[in-house]
Amino acid sequence: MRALVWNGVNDLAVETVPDPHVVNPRDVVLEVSLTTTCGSDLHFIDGYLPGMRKGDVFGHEFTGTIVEVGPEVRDRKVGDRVVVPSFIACGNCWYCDRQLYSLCDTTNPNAAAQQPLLGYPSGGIYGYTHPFGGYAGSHAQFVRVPFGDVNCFPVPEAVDDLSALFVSDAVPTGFMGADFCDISPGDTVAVFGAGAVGLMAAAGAKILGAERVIVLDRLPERLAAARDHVGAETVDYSDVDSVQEALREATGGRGPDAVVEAVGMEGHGTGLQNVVDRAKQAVRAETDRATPLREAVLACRKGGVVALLGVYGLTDSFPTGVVLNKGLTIRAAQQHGQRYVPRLLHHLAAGELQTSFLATHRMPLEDAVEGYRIFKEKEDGCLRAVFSPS
Amino acid sequence: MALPRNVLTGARDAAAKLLTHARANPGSSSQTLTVERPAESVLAALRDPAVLTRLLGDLGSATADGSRYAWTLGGETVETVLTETVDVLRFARTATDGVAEPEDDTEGGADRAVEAWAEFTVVPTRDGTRSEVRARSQLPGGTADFTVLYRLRALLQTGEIPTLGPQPTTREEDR
Repeated sequence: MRALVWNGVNDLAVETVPDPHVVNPRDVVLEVSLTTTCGSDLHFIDGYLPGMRKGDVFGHEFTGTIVEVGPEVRDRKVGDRVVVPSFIACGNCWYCDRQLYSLCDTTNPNAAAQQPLLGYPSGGIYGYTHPFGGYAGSHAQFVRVPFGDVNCFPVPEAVDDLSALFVSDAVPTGFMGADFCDISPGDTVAVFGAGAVGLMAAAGAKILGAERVIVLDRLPERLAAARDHVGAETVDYSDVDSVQEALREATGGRGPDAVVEAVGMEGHGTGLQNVVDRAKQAVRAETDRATPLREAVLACRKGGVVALLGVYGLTDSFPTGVVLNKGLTIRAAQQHGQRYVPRLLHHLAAGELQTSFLATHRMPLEDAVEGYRIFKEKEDGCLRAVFSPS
Repeated sequence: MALPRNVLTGARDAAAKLLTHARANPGSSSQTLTVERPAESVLAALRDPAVLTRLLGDLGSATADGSRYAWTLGGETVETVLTETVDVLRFARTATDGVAEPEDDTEGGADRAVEAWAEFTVVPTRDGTRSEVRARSQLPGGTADFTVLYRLRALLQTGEIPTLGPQPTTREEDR
Protein backbone atom coordinates (compact mmCIF):
# COMPACT_ATOMS: atom_id res chain seq x y z
CA MET A 1 0.00 0.00 0.00
CA ARG A 2 1.00 3.64 -0.27
CA ALA A 3 1.85 5.55 2.89
CA LEU A 4 3.45 8.75 4.09
CA VAL A 5 6.67 7.99 5.93
CA TRP A 6 9.05 9.98 8.12
CA ASN A 7 12.62 9.59 6.90
CA GLY A 8 14.22 12.26 9.07
CA VAL A 9 13.81 15.82 10.27
CA ASN A 10 11.76 17.65 7.63
CA ASP A 11 12.21 14.65 5.32
CA LEU A 12 8.90 13.04 4.39
CA ALA A 13 7.98 10.84 1.45
CA VAL A 14 5.06 8.83 0.12
CA GLU A 15 6.32 5.29 -0.40
CA THR A 16 5.09 1.74 -0.82
CA VAL A 17 5.04 -0.34 2.38
CA PRO A 18 3.53 -3.73 3.30
CA ASP A 19 -0.18 -3.84 4.10
CA PRO A 20 -1.11 -4.26 7.77
CA HIS A 21 -3.14 -7.22 8.91
CA VAL A 22 -4.69 -8.57 12.09
CA VAL A 23 -1.95 -9.50 14.57
CA ASN A 24 -3.76 -9.81 17.91
CA PRO A 25 -7.20 -11.43 18.21
CA ARG A 26 -9.10 -8.20 18.92
CA ASP A 27 -7.46 -6.19 16.13
CA VAL A 28 -9.29 -4.78 13.17
CA VAL A 29 -7.88 -3.37 9.95
CA LEU A 30 -9.42 -0.27 8.40
CA GLU A 31 -9.31 0.99 4.88
CA VAL A 32 -8.62 4.65 5.56
CA SER A 33 -11.14 7.01 4.01
CA LEU A 34 -9.66 10.27 5.22
CA THR A 35 -6.67 11.19 7.35
CA THR A 36 -5.46 14.60 8.39
CA THR A 37 -2.48 16.59 9.54
CA CYS A 38 -2.16 17.55 13.19
CA GLY A 39 -0.06 20.25 14.80
CA SER A 40 1.48 17.72 17.14
CA ASP A 41 3.05 15.99 14.11
CA LEU A 42 5.09 19.10 13.46
CA HIS A 43 7.00 18.61 16.70
CA PHE A 44 8.74 15.45 15.44
CA ILE A 45 8.81 16.58 11.81
CA ASP A 46 10.77 19.64 12.95
CA GLY A 47 12.96 17.51 15.21
CA TYR A 48 11.85 18.90 18.57
CA LEU A 49 10.48 15.56 19.78
CA PRO A 50 12.86 12.60 19.60
CA GLY A 51 11.88 8.99 19.09
CA MET A 52 10.92 8.67 15.44
CA ARG A 53 12.70 6.10 13.28
CA LYS A 54 13.43 6.32 9.58
CA GLY A 55 10.65 4.62 7.70
CA ASP A 56 7.84 5.24 10.22
CA VAL A 57 4.34 5.61 8.82
CA PHE A 58 2.75 8.44 10.79
CA GLY A 59 -0.61 10.15 11.22
CA HIS A 60 -3.19 9.63 13.97
CA GLU A 61 -6.46 11.35 13.02
CA PHE A 62 -8.56 9.30 10.65
CA THR A 63 -11.78 7.63 9.66
CA GLY A 64 -12.35 4.55 7.55
CA THR A 65 -14.16 1.32 6.83
CA ILE A 66 -13.38 -1.99 8.52
CA VAL A 67 -12.02 -4.54 6.07
CA GLU A 68 -10.70 -7.23 8.44
CA VAL A 69 -11.56 -8.28 11.99
CA GLY A 70 -9.75 -10.50 14.46
CA PRO A 71 -11.34 -13.70 15.81
CA GLU A 72 -12.28 -12.12 19.15
CA VAL A 73 -13.88 -8.93 17.82
CA ARG A 74 -17.53 -9.03 18.87
CA ASP A 75 -19.25 -5.73 18.15
CA ARG A 76 -17.62 -4.50 14.95
CA LYS A 77 -17.81 -6.09 11.53
CA VAL A 78 -16.39 -5.77 8.07
CA GLY A 79 -18.06 -2.87 6.28
CA ASP A 80 -18.62 -0.70 9.36
CA ARG A 81 -17.82 2.97 8.72
CA VAL A 82 -16.02 4.11 11.84
CA VAL A 83 -14.01 6.87 13.43
CA VAL A 84 -11.09 6.04 15.72
CA PRO A 85 -9.64 8.13 18.56
CA SER A 86 -5.92 8.71 18.25
CA PHE A 87 -4.97 7.07 21.56
CA ILE A 88 -5.36 3.30 21.77
CA ALA A 89 -7.35 1.98 24.72
CA CYS A 90 -7.81 -1.59 25.91
CA GLY A 91 -11.07 -1.04 27.79
CA ASN A 92 -9.89 -3.39 30.56
CA CYS A 93 -7.37 -1.58 32.73
CA TRP A 94 -7.65 0.65 35.80
CA TYR A 95 -7.40 3.81 33.69
CA CYS A 96 -9.87 2.71 31.02
CA ASP A 97 -12.32 1.80 33.81
CA ARG A 98 -12.11 5.46 34.87
CA GLN A 99 -12.45 6.75 31.29
CA LEU A 100 -8.87 8.04 31.29
CA TYR A 101 -8.30 6.31 27.99
CA SER A 102 -5.12 8.04 26.81
CA LEU A 103 -3.49 6.77 30.01
CA CYS A 104 -4.30 3.15 29.18
CA ASP A 105 -2.01 0.81 31.07
CA THR A 106 -1.67 -1.94 28.49
CA THR A 107 -1.42 -0.60 24.91
CA ASN A 108 2.06 0.88 24.73
CA PRO A 109 4.60 -1.63 23.38
CA ASN A 110 7.42 0.76 24.21
CA ALA A 111 6.22 1.71 27.68
CA ALA A 112 9.66 1.10 29.16
CA ALA A 113 11.06 3.89 27.01
CA GLN A 114 8.50 6.31 28.41
CA GLN A 115 8.73 5.37 32.07
CA PRO A 116 11.90 7.39 32.78
CA LEU A 117 10.36 10.44 31.09
CA LEU A 118 6.88 10.37 32.62
CA GLY A 119 7.26 8.18 35.67
CA TYR A 120 4.29 6.17 34.39
CA PRO A 121 3.79 5.57 30.67
CA SER A 122 0.79 6.66 28.63
CA GLY A 123 -1.20 4.50 26.27
CA GLY A 124 -0.14 3.90 22.71
CA ILE A 125 -0.96 6.17 19.80
CA TYR A 126 -0.96 5.63 16.05
CA GLY A 127 1.87 7.06 14.01
CA TYR A 128 3.76 9.00 16.64
CA THR A 129 7.14 8.78 18.36
CA HIS A 130 8.26 5.38 19.61
CA PRO A 131 7.98 6.18 23.32
CA PHE A 132 4.27 6.58 22.52
CA GLY A 133 4.16 3.05 21.16
CA GLY A 134 5.60 3.07 17.68
CA TYR A 135 2.38 1.91 16.00
CA ALA A 136 2.10 2.52 12.27
CA GLY A 137 -0.05 5.54 11.55
CA SER A 138 -3.03 6.48 9.44
CA HIS A 139 -1.45 8.34 6.54
CA ALA A 140 -1.81 5.16 4.53
CA GLN A 141 -4.37 3.16 2.63
CA PHE A 142 -4.86 0.77 5.56
CA VAL A 143 -4.20 0.86 9.30
CA ARG A 144 -4.34 -1.75 12.06
CA VAL A 145 -6.50 -0.79 15.05
CA PRO A 146 -5.97 -2.79 18.26
CA PHE A 147 -9.04 -3.59 20.41
CA GLY A 148 -11.45 -2.79 17.60
CA ASP A 149 -14.53 -3.07 19.80
CA VAL A 150 -13.18 -0.40 22.16
CA ASN A 151 -11.62 1.97 19.65
CA CYS A 152 -13.87 1.95 16.58
CA PHE A 153 -17.03 4.07 16.77
CA PRO A 154 -19.66 3.63 14.06
CA VAL A 155 -20.44 6.87 12.24
CA PRO A 156 -24.16 7.67 12.00
CA GLU A 157 -25.76 7.89 8.54
CA ALA A 158 -26.38 11.60 9.07
CA VAL A 159 -22.65 12.34 9.50
CA ASP A 160 -20.38 12.44 6.45
CA ASP A 161 -16.79 11.22 6.47
CA LEU A 162 -15.29 14.69 6.48
CA SER A 163 -17.28 15.81 9.53
CA ALA A 164 -16.53 12.53 11.32
CA LEU A 165 -12.81 12.73 10.57
CA PHE A 166 -12.12 15.39 13.17
CA VAL A 167 -13.98 13.44 15.85
CA SER A 168 -10.88 11.25 15.81
CA ASP A 169 -8.75 13.86 17.57
CA ALA A 170 -9.27 17.61 17.17
CA VAL A 171 -12.88 17.63 18.37
CA PRO A 172 -12.55 15.37 21.43
CA THR A 173 -9.29 17.05 22.40
CA GLY A 174 -10.88 20.48 22.27
CA PHE A 175 -14.11 19.32 23.88
CA MET A 176 -12.15 17.67 26.68
CA GLY A 177 -10.37 20.97 27.30
CA ALA A 178 -13.73 22.70 27.62
CA ASP A 179 -14.97 19.91 29.87
CA PHE A 180 -11.93 20.43 32.12
CA CYS A 181 -13.06 24.03 32.67
CA ASP A 182 -16.04 23.01 34.84
CA ILE A 183 -18.14 25.60 33.06
CA SER A 184 -20.99 27.19 34.97
CA PRO A 185 -23.69 29.47 33.54
CA GLY A 186 -22.28 32.94 33.03
CA ASP A 187 -18.68 31.78 32.68
CA THR A 188 -16.19 33.29 30.27
CA VAL A 189 -13.66 30.96 28.70
CA ALA A 190 -10.57 32.17 26.84
CA VAL A 191 -8.97 29.88 24.29
CA PHE A 192 -5.34 30.43 23.32
CA GLY A 193 -4.82 29.27 19.74
CA ALA A 194 -7.32 29.06 16.90
CA GLY A 195 -6.06 25.94 15.24
CA ALA A 196 -8.43 23.01 14.89
CA VAL A 197 -8.12 22.00 18.55
CA GLY A 198 -8.57 25.56 19.82
CA LEU A 199 -11.61 26.11 17.61
CA MET A 200 -13.14 22.87 18.85
CA ALA A 201 -12.37 23.85 22.44
CA ALA A 202 -14.26 27.08 21.79
CA ALA A 203 -17.17 25.17 20.23
CA GLY A 204 -17.13 22.76 23.15
CA ALA A 205 -17.23 25.61 25.66
CA LYS A 206 -20.29 26.97 23.88
CA ILE A 207 -22.01 23.59 23.94
CA LEU A 208 -21.20 23.21 27.65
CA GLY A 209 -22.85 26.52 28.45
CA ALA A 210 -20.18 29.20 28.54
CA GLU A 211 -21.74 32.63 28.22
CA ARG A 212 -18.73 34.08 26.43
CA VAL A 213 -15.84 32.47 24.59
CA ILE A 214 -12.83 34.58 23.62
CA VAL A 215 -10.35 33.09 21.14
CA LEU A 216 -6.82 34.49 20.81
CA ASP A 217 -4.57 34.04 17.79
CA ARG A 218 -2.59 36.16 15.37
CA LEU A 219 -3.84 34.79 12.05
CA PRO A 220 -6.82 36.71 10.62
CA GLU A 221 -8.35 33.73 8.82
CA ARG A 222 -8.30 31.63 12.00
CA LEU A 223 -9.84 34.40 14.04
CA ALA A 224 -12.47 34.75 11.33
CA ALA A 225 -13.21 31.02 11.61
CA ALA A 226 -13.66 31.42 15.37
CA ARG A 227 -16.17 34.19 14.81
CA ASP A 228 -17.99 32.72 11.81
CA HIS A 229 -18.16 29.01 12.71
CA VAL A 230 -18.09 29.05 16.50
CA GLY A 231 -19.62 32.41 17.41
CA ALA A 232 -16.66 33.35 19.57
CA GLU A 233 -15.24 36.77 20.32
CA THR A 234 -11.67 37.18 19.15
CA VAL A 235 -8.46 38.93 20.13
CA ASP A 236 -5.53 39.32 17.73
CA TYR A 237 -2.68 39.19 20.23
CA SER A 238 -0.27 40.72 17.76
CA ASP A 239 -2.48 43.81 17.73
CA VAL A 240 -2.55 44.44 21.48
CA ASP A 241 0.12 45.71 23.83
CA SER A 242 -0.67 43.10 26.46
CA VAL A 243 -2.76 39.93 26.34
CA GLN A 244 -3.31 40.28 30.08
CA GLU A 245 -4.67 43.78 29.73
CA ALA A 246 -6.84 42.84 26.76
CA LEU A 247 -8.46 39.98 28.67
CA ARG A 248 -8.85 42.01 31.86
CA GLU A 249 -10.48 44.73 29.84
CA ALA A 250 -12.80 42.24 28.16
CA THR A 251 -13.91 40.71 31.46
CA GLY A 252 -14.51 43.69 33.68
CA GLY A 253 -11.14 43.37 35.32
CA ARG A 254 -11.69 39.89 36.76
CA GLY A 255 -10.19 37.77 34.00
CA PRO A 256 -11.57 34.70 32.26
CA ASP A 257 -12.99 31.99 34.53
CA ALA A 258 -11.03 29.43 32.59
CA VAL A 259 -8.34 29.43 29.93
CA VAL A 260 -7.72 26.65 27.43
CA GLU A 261 -4.17 26.50 26.08
CA ALA A 262 -4.33 24.90 22.62
CA VAL A 263 -0.99 25.89 21.13
CA GLY A 264 1.91 23.77 22.35
CA MET A 265 5.65 23.82 22.13
CA GLU A 266 6.02 25.77 18.91
CA GLY A 267 3.98 28.71 20.08
CA HIS A 268 4.48 32.22 18.86
CA GLY A 269 4.20 35.29 20.96
CA THR A 270 5.57 38.68 21.72
CA GLY A 271 8.09 39.98 24.21
CA LEU A 272 11.60 39.20 25.35
CA GLN A 273 10.79 35.78 26.83
CA ASN A 274 9.58 34.59 23.42
CA VAL A 275 12.82 35.76 21.81
CA VAL A 276 14.80 33.86 24.45
CA ASP A 277 12.65 30.74 23.94
CA ARG A 278 13.13 30.84 20.18
CA ALA A 279 16.89 31.11 20.54
CA LYS A 280 17.09 28.30 23.10
CA GLN A 281 14.82 26.04 21.07
CA ALA A 282 16.80 26.69 17.89
CA VAL A 283 19.98 25.39 19.53
CA ARG A 284 18.05 22.56 21.26
CA ALA A 285 18.73 24.05 24.69
CA GLU A 286 14.99 24.01 25.42
CA THR A 287 12.17 21.90 24.04
CA ASP A 288 9.43 24.51 24.18
CA ARG A 289 8.45 27.98 23.15
CA ALA A 290 5.99 28.33 25.97
CA THR A 291 4.80 31.91 25.75
CA PRO A 292 1.12 30.89 25.34
CA LEU A 293 1.31 28.61 28.37
CA ARG A 294 2.78 31.35 30.58
CA GLU A 295 0.27 33.86 29.24
CA ALA A 296 -2.59 31.46 29.96
CA VAL A 297 -1.51 31.12 33.59
CA LEU A 298 -1.20 34.88 33.96
CA ALA A 299 -4.47 35.62 32.15
CA CYS A 300 -6.74 33.28 34.10
CA ARG A 301 -8.69 34.82 36.97
CA LYS A 302 -7.83 33.90 40.55
CA GLY A 303 -9.17 30.48 41.48
CA GLY A 304 -9.81 29.63 37.84
CA VAL A 305 -8.91 26.65 35.68
CA VAL A 306 -6.18 26.41 33.06
CA ALA A 307 -6.81 23.50 30.71
CA LEU A 308 -3.64 22.48 28.94
CA LEU A 309 -4.10 20.77 25.58
CA GLY A 310 -0.97 21.86 23.73
CA VAL A 311 1.84 19.32 23.46
CA TYR A 312 4.89 20.35 25.47
CA GLY A 313 8.18 18.82 26.46
CA LEU A 314 10.18 20.12 29.42
CA THR A 315 9.24 23.75 29.70
CA ASP A 316 11.72 26.22 31.16
CA SER A 317 10.47 29.20 33.15
CA PHE A 318 7.05 27.92 34.13
CA PRO A 319 5.35 30.38 36.52
CA THR A 320 4.79 27.96 39.38
CA GLY A 321 4.50 30.73 41.94
CA VAL A 322 1.72 32.35 39.94
CA VAL A 323 -0.25 29.10 39.94
CA LEU A 324 0.12 28.84 43.71
CA ASN A 325 -0.60 32.43 44.61
CA LYS A 326 -3.62 32.67 42.32
CA GLY A 327 -5.01 29.35 43.48
CA LEU A 328 -5.28 28.02 39.96
CA THR A 329 -6.30 24.53 38.97
CA ILE A 330 -4.34 23.10 36.06
CA ARG A 331 -5.90 20.20 34.22
CA ALA A 332 -4.25 18.49 31.31
CA ALA A 333 -4.36 15.33 29.27
CA GLN A 334 -3.91 13.84 25.92
CA GLN A 335 -7.41 13.26 24.65
CA HIS A 336 -9.57 10.63 26.31
CA GLY A 337 -11.44 10.35 23.04
CA GLN A 338 -13.40 7.18 23.77
CA ARG A 339 -15.17 9.10 26.56
CA TYR A 340 -16.41 11.82 24.22
CA VAL A 341 -16.79 10.40 20.71
CA PRO A 342 -20.37 9.06 21.05
CA ARG A 343 -21.60 12.38 22.41
CA LEU A 344 -19.75 14.33 19.71
CA LEU A 345 -21.16 12.18 16.91
CA HIS A 346 -24.61 12.88 18.36
CA HIS A 347 -23.94 16.64 18.33
CA LEU A 348 -22.79 16.36 14.71
CA ALA A 349 -25.83 14.35 13.64
CA ALA A 350 -28.10 16.86 15.37
CA GLY A 351 -26.44 19.78 13.60
CA GLU A 352 -25.23 21.25 16.91
CA LEU A 353 -21.56 21.11 15.95
CA GLN A 354 -19.70 22.00 12.76
CA THR A 355 -16.35 20.43 11.95
CA SER A 356 -15.99 20.14 8.17
CA PHE A 357 -14.85 23.78 7.89
CA LEU A 358 -11.56 22.67 9.46
CA ALA A 359 -10.70 20.89 6.20
CA THR A 360 -9.38 23.90 4.34
CA HIS A 361 -7.21 21.81 2.02
CA ARG A 362 -8.01 18.40 0.53
CA MET A 363 -5.75 16.30 -1.64
CA PRO A 364 -4.76 12.72 -2.47
CA LEU A 365 -2.30 10.99 -0.14
CA GLU A 366 0.26 11.12 -2.94
CA ASP A 367 0.42 14.91 -2.34
CA ALA A 368 0.79 14.62 1.43
CA VAL A 369 4.34 15.98 1.55
CA GLU A 370 3.13 19.20 -0.03
CA GLY A 371 0.10 19.10 2.26
CA TYR A 372 2.33 19.11 5.30
CA ARG A 373 4.35 21.98 3.88
CA ILE A 374 1.21 24.06 3.38
CA PHE A 375 -0.03 23.11 6.86
CA LYS A 376 3.25 23.88 8.56
CA GLU A 377 3.62 27.25 6.85
CA LYS A 378 -0.07 28.03 7.49
CA GLU A 379 -0.12 28.96 3.84
CA ASP A 380 -3.31 29.95 2.08
CA GLY A 381 -5.26 30.03 5.34
CA CYS A 382 -4.60 26.36 6.02
CA LEU A 383 -6.24 24.98 9.15
CA ARG A 384 -5.93 21.33 8.22
CA ALA A 385 -4.79 19.40 5.16
CA VAL A 386 -6.89 16.29 4.61
CA PHE A 387 -5.61 13.33 2.60
CA SER A 388 -7.61 10.74 0.66
CA PRO A 389 -5.53 7.56 0.43
CA SER A 390 -7.71 5.71 -2.08
CA MET B 1 31.61 34.09 35.43
CA ALA B 2 32.72 31.71 38.17
CA LEU B 3 30.08 29.51 39.72
CA PRO B 4 29.49 29.99 43.46
CA ARG B 5 31.31 27.49 45.67
CA ASN B 6 28.06 26.06 47.08
CA VAL B 7 26.78 25.25 43.55
CA LEU B 8 29.96 23.35 42.72
CA THR B 9 29.90 21.54 46.06
CA GLY B 10 26.24 20.58 45.61
CA ALA B 11 26.84 19.26 42.10
CA ARG B 12 29.85 17.25 43.28
CA ASP B 13 27.87 15.74 46.17
CA ALA B 14 24.94 14.84 43.89
CA ALA B 15 27.28 13.13 41.42
CA ALA B 16 28.96 11.22 44.26
CA LYS B 17 25.56 9.95 45.46
CA LEU B 18 24.67 8.75 41.97
CA LEU B 19 27.95 6.90 41.60
CA THR B 20 27.63 5.34 45.06
CA HIS B 21 24.10 4.11 44.25
CA ALA B 22 25.21 2.69 40.90
CA ARG B 23 28.11 0.81 42.49
CA ALA B 24 25.89 -0.57 45.23
CA ASN B 25 23.34 -1.89 42.72
CA PRO B 26 25.35 -3.37 39.85
CA GLY B 27 23.08 -4.72 37.14
CA SER B 28 20.10 -5.35 39.38
CA SER B 29 16.80 -3.51 39.27
CA SER B 30 13.37 -3.55 40.81
CA GLN B 31 9.95 -2.69 39.44
CA THR B 32 6.45 -2.96 40.86
CA LEU B 33 3.14 -2.97 39.00
CA THR B 34 -0.43 -3.61 40.05
CA VAL B 35 -2.28 -6.29 38.13
CA GLU B 36 -6.07 -6.49 38.37
CA ARG B 37 -6.01 -10.23 38.82
CA PRO B 38 -5.81 -12.59 41.83
CA ALA B 39 -2.38 -13.61 43.03
CA GLU B 40 -2.93 -17.26 42.09
CA SER B 41 -3.44 -16.26 38.42
CA VAL B 42 -0.31 -14.15 38.43
CA LEU B 43 1.80 -16.85 40.08
CA ALA B 44 0.49 -19.48 37.66
CA ALA B 45 1.42 -17.29 34.70
CA LEU B 46 4.91 -16.70 36.06
CA ARG B 47 5.48 -20.44 36.51
CA ASP B 48 4.45 -21.22 32.93
CA PRO B 49 7.47 -21.26 30.58
CA ALA B 50 5.22 -20.65 27.57
CA VAL B 51 3.89 -17.49 29.22
CA LEU B 52 7.38 -16.45 30.28
CA THR B 53 8.51 -16.82 26.67
CA ARG B 54 5.62 -14.61 25.52
CA LEU B 55 6.50 -12.03 28.16
CA LEU B 56 10.13 -12.02 27.11
CA GLY B 57 9.20 -11.70 23.43
CA ASP B 58 12.11 -10.19 21.60
CA LEU B 59 14.24 -10.35 24.74
CA GLY B 60 14.58 -14.13 24.85
CA SER B 61 12.79 -17.32 25.86
CA ALA B 62 12.32 -19.78 28.71
CA THR B 63 11.91 -23.55 28.94
CA ALA B 64 11.25 -25.72 31.99
CA ASP B 65 11.83 -29.25 33.19
CA GLY B 66 10.16 -29.50 36.58
CA SER B 67 11.68 -26.81 38.74
CA ARG B 68 14.61 -26.29 36.39
CA TYR B 69 14.17 -23.32 34.05
CA ALA B 70 16.53 -22.46 31.21
CA TRP B 71 16.53 -18.84 30.05
CA THR B 72 17.95 -17.71 26.75
CA LEU B 73 18.73 -14.04 27.10
CA GLY B 74 21.11 -11.79 25.23
CA GLY B 75 22.45 -14.75 23.29
CA GLU B 76 23.33 -16.60 26.48
CA THR B 77 21.57 -19.54 28.12
CA VAL B 78 21.25 -19.50 31.89
CA GLU B 79 19.93 -22.46 33.86
CA THR B 80 18.10 -21.73 37.08
CA VAL B 81 16.12 -23.54 39.72
CA LEU B 82 12.71 -22.27 40.85
CA THR B 83 12.11 -22.01 44.58
CA GLU B 84 8.80 -20.80 45.99
CA THR B 85 7.48 -19.38 49.21
CA VAL B 86 3.88 -18.23 49.72
CA ASP B 87 4.24 -15.11 47.63
CA VAL B 88 7.70 -15.24 46.07
CA LEU B 89 8.95 -17.06 42.99
CA ARG B 90 12.72 -17.07 42.75
CA PHE B 91 14.59 -18.37 39.73
CA ALA B 92 18.29 -18.58 40.58
CA ARG B 93 21.45 -20.13 39.28
CA THR B 94 23.54 -21.78 41.95
CA ALA B 95 26.71 -23.81 41.52
CA THR B 96 25.40 -26.48 43.86
CA ASP B 97 22.52 -27.32 41.53
CA GLY B 98 24.86 -29.05 39.16
CA VAL B 99 24.77 -26.22 36.67
CA ALA B 100 28.10 -25.92 34.99
CA GLU B 101 29.90 -22.69 35.76
CA PRO B 102 31.88 -21.06 32.96
CA GLU B 103 35.64 -21.12 32.94
CA ASP B 104 36.96 -17.93 34.49
CA ASP B 105 39.69 -17.60 31.90
CA THR B 106 37.28 -17.49 28.96
CA GLU B 107 36.40 -14.13 27.49
CA GLY B 108 33.66 -12.65 29.61
CA GLY B 109 33.95 -15.52 32.02
CA ALA B 110 34.24 -13.30 35.05
CA ASP B 111 30.94 -11.59 34.27
CA ARG B 112 29.12 -14.80 33.41
CA ALA B 113 30.21 -16.34 36.71
CA VAL B 114 28.10 -13.82 38.59
CA GLU B 115 25.00 -15.52 39.99
CA ALA B 116 21.97 -14.89 37.78
CA TRP B 117 18.55 -14.60 39.28
CA ALA B 118 15.04 -13.28 38.83
CA GLU B 119 12.54 -12.90 41.63
CA PHE B 120 8.82 -12.11 41.55
CA THR B 121 6.92 -11.14 44.69
CA VAL B 122 3.14 -11.32 44.29
CA VAL B 123 1.06 -9.77 47.08
CA PRO B 124 -2.74 -9.95 46.96
CA THR B 125 -4.62 -6.71 47.70
CA ARG B 126 -8.22 -5.43 47.74
CA ASP B 127 -10.20 -8.54 48.65
CA GLY B 128 -7.82 -10.70 46.65
CA THR B 129 -8.90 -9.46 43.22
CA ARG B 130 -5.77 -7.40 42.65
CA SER B 131 -2.07 -8.17 43.02
CA GLU B 132 0.99 -6.06 43.51
CA VAL B 133 3.79 -7.71 41.58
CA ARG B 134 7.40 -6.83 42.24
CA ALA B 135 10.17 -7.97 39.92
CA ARG B 136 13.86 -7.93 40.69
CA SER B 137 16.47 -9.54 38.52
CA GLN B 138 20.08 -9.80 37.56
CA LEU B 139 20.16 -11.62 34.27
CA PRO B 140 22.27 -11.54 31.11
CA GLY B 141 21.29 -9.15 28.37
CA GLY B 142 20.38 -6.36 30.76
CA THR B 143 17.34 -6.18 32.96
CA ALA B 144 13.90 -5.63 31.52
CA ASP B 145 11.75 -6.02 34.60
CA PHE B 146 9.36 -3.23 33.68
CA THR B 147 8.80 -4.56 30.17
CA VAL B 148 8.12 -8.06 31.47
CA LEU B 149 5.70 -6.80 34.13
CA TYR B 150 3.94 -4.49 31.67
CA ARG B 151 3.43 -7.37 29.26
CA LEU B 152 2.30 -9.61 32.12
CA ARG B 153 -0.35 -7.09 33.15
CA ALA B 154 -1.51 -6.64 29.56
CA LEU B 155 -1.72 -10.37 28.95
CA LEU B 156 -3.62 -11.16 32.16
CA GLN B 157 -6.02 -8.22 31.85
CA THR B 158 -6.68 -8.16 28.10
CA GLY B 159 -5.53 -11.52 26.79
CA GLU B 160 -3.06 -9.72 24.53
CA ILE B 161 0.43 -8.31 24.64
CA PRO B 162 0.77 -4.99 22.77
CA THR B 163 2.45 -5.90 19.53
CA LEU B 164 3.92 -3.94 16.66
CA GLY B 165 5.44 -6.43 14.28
CA PRO B 166 4.90 -7.10 11.57
CA GLN B 167 3.72 -3.67 10.56
CA PRO B 168 3.90 -1.23 7.68
CA THR B 169 7.26 0.50 7.54
CA THR B 170 10.08 0.93 5.10
CA ARG B 171 12.37 -0.80 7.65
CA GLU B 172 12.92 -4.40 6.60
CA GLU B 173 13.46 -5.62 10.17
CA ASP B 174 10.00 -4.56 11.31
CA ARG B 175 8.05 -6.16 8.48
